[in-house]
Amino acid sequence: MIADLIAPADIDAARTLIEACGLAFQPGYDDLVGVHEQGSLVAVGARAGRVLKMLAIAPAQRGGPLLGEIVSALVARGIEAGFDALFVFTKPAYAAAFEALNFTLLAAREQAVLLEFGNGLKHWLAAHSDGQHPGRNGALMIDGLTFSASHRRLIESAAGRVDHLYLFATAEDCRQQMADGVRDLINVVVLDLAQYRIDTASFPTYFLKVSDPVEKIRTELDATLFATRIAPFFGIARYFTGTADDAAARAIQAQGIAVCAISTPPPGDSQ
Amino acid sequence: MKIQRKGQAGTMQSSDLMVIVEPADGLVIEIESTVKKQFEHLIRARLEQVLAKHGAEGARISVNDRGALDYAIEARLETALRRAGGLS
Repeated sequence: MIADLIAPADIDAARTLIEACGLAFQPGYDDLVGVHEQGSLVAVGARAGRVLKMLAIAPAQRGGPLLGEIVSALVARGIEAGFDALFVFTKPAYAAAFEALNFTLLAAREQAVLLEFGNGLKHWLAAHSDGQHPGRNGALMIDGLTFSASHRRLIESAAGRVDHLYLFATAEDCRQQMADGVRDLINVVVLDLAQYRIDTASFPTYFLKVSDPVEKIRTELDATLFATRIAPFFGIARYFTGTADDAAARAIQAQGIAVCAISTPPPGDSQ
Repeated sequence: MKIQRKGQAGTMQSSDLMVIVEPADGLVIEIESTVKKQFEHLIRARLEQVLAKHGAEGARISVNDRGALDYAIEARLETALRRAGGLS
């Protein structure tokens, strides 16, 4: 039977089980639940927002119904909390166990995989199908909190090289400014990747070692998700970036999307 | 019968299914199943039968099935409909 783990002794037991499974206990969750058998904790799992994490089953109990029991409880609570789809980030070796529970593999790299429960990505794409345009299209990510004149010149320069340019803002504040700032550019579409952009805040690290290059793993997983699931839907064949040789650019290029280095043209040179 | 809110029932255990019912335009059924290739049409037929029996409309029915039998499908769907306010 599923129990909430709230008392310090229960949390300690959870930490011990999680660590025994080669994972790390990572505080910061909405639910921490477990299953006891004959007085000892044999299965545990947590939910932080839409992300399930720290799923651990005692070695002797693996292959049985416990993972399904824990995941059912966490998914039910996630749906109750208003999320239509839930994520699991984990080691590639565990992907199959979640696929058997009807999770869909969204992105896979050597050290990390992302799986989703529910048809969230399918619904997100369907909701943005009016943004689909035929042609040889490009993508440009805009970092930063404000939309500036140099962003505008960069966008004009990129938009001139493709049929349609998709703009992705990493910050919500910037997205609105950007939508206003490019309204007159007819072949530019502003999109919000929402939860399908894996940022530092949403990426759990409980399944990685302290010595792992966490930021590189996150960036590559994010870029792979974008290149394999988002870009094909919008016919994105070119990816514009200022830094063509970073981990994200290499991961995107590996999926057959041309990476184009682009630099901000000086003022007055935008035509 | 109109679906008024989100309702769910069931689990992801083997031989069970999890059903989520939520308000939507029209009647949409989405099925994920470990036996999708062989049995999707039968699961869908069973769901449609239960939905028709209760005259359910304006709902998205998301089903995650792990090889549940007919009576489990019926019971889980009816429970989810009831929780969604679609059954009295």
